[in-house]
Amino acid sequence: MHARDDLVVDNLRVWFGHGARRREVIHGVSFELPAGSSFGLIGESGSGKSLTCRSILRLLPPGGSIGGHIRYGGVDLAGLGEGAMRAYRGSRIGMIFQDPLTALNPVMRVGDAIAQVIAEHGRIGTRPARSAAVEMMERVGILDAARRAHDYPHQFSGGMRQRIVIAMALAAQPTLLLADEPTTALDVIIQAEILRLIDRLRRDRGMSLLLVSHDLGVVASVCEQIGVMYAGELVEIGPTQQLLASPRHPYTRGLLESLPEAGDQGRLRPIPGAPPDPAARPSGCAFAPRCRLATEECRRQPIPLIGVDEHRASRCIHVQQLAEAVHG
Amino acid sequence: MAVLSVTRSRRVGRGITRLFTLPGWERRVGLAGVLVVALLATAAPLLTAYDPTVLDLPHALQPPSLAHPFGTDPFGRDIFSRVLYGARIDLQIGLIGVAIPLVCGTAIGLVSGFYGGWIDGIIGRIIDVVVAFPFLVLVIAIVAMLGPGLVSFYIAVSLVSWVAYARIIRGEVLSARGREYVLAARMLGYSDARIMFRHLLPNVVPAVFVFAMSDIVLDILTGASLGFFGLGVQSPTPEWGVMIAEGRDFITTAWWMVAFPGLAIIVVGLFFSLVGDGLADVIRRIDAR
Repeated sequence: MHARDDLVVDNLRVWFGHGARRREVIHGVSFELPAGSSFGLIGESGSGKSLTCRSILRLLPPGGSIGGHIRYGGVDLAGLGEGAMRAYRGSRIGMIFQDPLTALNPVMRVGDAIAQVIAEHGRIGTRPARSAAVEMMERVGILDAARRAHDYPHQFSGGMRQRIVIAMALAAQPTLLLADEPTTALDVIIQAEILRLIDRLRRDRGMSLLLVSHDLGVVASVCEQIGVMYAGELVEIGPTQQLLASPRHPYTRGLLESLPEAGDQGRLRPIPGAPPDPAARPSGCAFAPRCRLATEECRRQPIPLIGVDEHRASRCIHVQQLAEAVHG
Repeated sequence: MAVLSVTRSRRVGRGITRLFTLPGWERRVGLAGVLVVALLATAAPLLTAYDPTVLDLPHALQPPSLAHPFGTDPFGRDIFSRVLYGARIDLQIGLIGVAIPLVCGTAIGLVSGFYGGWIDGIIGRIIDVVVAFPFLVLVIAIVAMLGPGLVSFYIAVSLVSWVAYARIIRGEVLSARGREYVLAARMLGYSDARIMFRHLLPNVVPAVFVFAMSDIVLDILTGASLGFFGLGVQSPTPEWGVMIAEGRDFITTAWWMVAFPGLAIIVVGLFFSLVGDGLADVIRRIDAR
């Protein structure tokens, strides 16, 4: 193994557009993902969580550019050439997607699709790659894998397709797995199965996992650490248990309160308002216009991430007030 | 190796069989017709006793009879043999005249759609320029510059008709490029060439095959037109367009000279059109799945 396959994202910035129309959409995101650990990014649509995830493989939609550092195993991916970057994609860093139907090539038999990854990155022949592909399919829980390897994606159910996407992502034995909303397109029961599968495979292989989701429950069930994103920046970061038990940012608290619980009726409390337009961000705290605790001070200047204790940090100057509210 | 033992060649074989077994009568009739025509062209020496180019002046301009089912021309040549042998040339014109632009146009459209940006801009402008000219006029102009003959014809057709394939493929690539499987292929670290040819190409190429079927018909007609104008295949080589040109002066006295090669063009055109329609139908059904 290399230095240690830690992922360190340091002051990541992402821009779109050129010249006068250039807009910063990710404003300096930093977090660490030590080898073998799991980190969850949550936030609403448009908060920048998926972009952050894609930036790691440097595959942004057209017009995007990246600043800051993304160190993986001691190498800064943000500064690598396209050729060197390709060596990381798929082989050392795997990725799974939201929609398992469109993520699979419709005219390629699933066994071939997986075998291709193995042959490409493992530099082995087609035949051993094919038997390895079937083995991989068995490992992600596909019954009768040898026969089903001949089937096309449309012959599988949604959950099974996602298993195949996972098998493809893991085929080259990556040390880091990026999962961008891997269960959003699935129903709740299948969702739980897929999450259990991802978690088990991660532990078995000592992989690191970066899970992106808008669903706190999903992230909480498999991630040791959570980062909450809002309007292109991390607003709170900390260990899952503590973050859920006593959120130290009003946005995180808002997210928790807006979660439905079985049996609850009429107790949902949505966060009022909508996230700011990236072109017209407020000068101070980005969340201030929707925040109950907001004061003059919040609107004056951007709020830095403030350490709450040695493991946690929050982008809120009213941390103390939040802590009292939870305990009191 | 019990697993995944079905080899690629067997799969291709199964694909071809399926062209016949899938429901839909147009495709099956068309394919069968094309195969029969190809067979007749190949077996021409067995089917007729006459050489298509040897003169037999005593038997000139005979109407259809048992000895000469399609009659004879002013040089006493048997029209039936000339139509049969002509099928060899005209099928060749249709296939080669479509294969070259299909391959070139597909590759160019793939690159154009995949990379976009300035590459797409330049290719798009070139396509616009070529499309601005009427097809037949441009082909005739190029052949006239290069000198009459089949090779000139193939060059001219390739230079002109690749644009149709490039446009179709480019459009298909633009819609396929945004799919997650293309992103997934990039995330897996595949090279651009691999993504284009192994992932995108199989998804976009069916559309082009449907067009190719009607393009074959157009090509045979173009080849025949050039033959008619004296710019394509040269007499005495039997070619349907040339034969119609030769029969022009006799149309009131020896109708069989133009009728049978003309009929041959119509029949072959019909068969290829049926195949094209049938293929389009199959693709629609697969897309709807």
